[in-house]
Amino acid sequence: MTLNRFLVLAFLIFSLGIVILYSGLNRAPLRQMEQMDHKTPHTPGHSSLLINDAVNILQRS
Amino acid sequence: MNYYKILSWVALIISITLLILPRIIPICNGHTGSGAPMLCHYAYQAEFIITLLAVILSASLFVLRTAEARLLASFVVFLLGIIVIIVPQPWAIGICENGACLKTTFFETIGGSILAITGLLIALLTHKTQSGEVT
Repeated sequence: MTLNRFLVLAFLIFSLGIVILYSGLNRAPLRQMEQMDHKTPHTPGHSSLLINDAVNILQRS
Repeated sequence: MNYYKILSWVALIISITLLILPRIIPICNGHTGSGAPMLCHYAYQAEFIITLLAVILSASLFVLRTAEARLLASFVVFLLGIIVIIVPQPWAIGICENGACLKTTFFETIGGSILAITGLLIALLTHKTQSGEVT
């Protein structure tokens, strides 16, 4: 294999790697369950909880 | 097959293993209190890019013909092996304190050490061969 051909192939492999990194195929998917997240009692947690609180307040008023 | 080819194959295999290691031994995949991914996520995203470069450079050892080019490529493989070890350290990017990523980092450190040693051996071998040709 010539060096020029290798450089083209290396660039293609690098681009493929970046696409894999972007799509998240290189790792296990992040958890979607809020109960499994690392939270302390004083932190608000996921933003969807704030939305739920806002909805509750609106419904009460 | 000479020593150069054997060491180049070792570097390539180790690089590919390091690239796919977080799929074989997964890191922890939870979120922090604020909902963002944890430090280990970012550390292993960085590790992926570094090992991708290590794969390309290790493969280039089979294509390069001049001693100087081989010396440079193997030296960069040596440096990348050191970077692989450094990235999960707390003073670099870091990982979480008691997650599954500790196990991944253990094997990543062993792999990074082997990669660095292999890169150094190839560089020394190439330098020795080059010196032998000159004298």
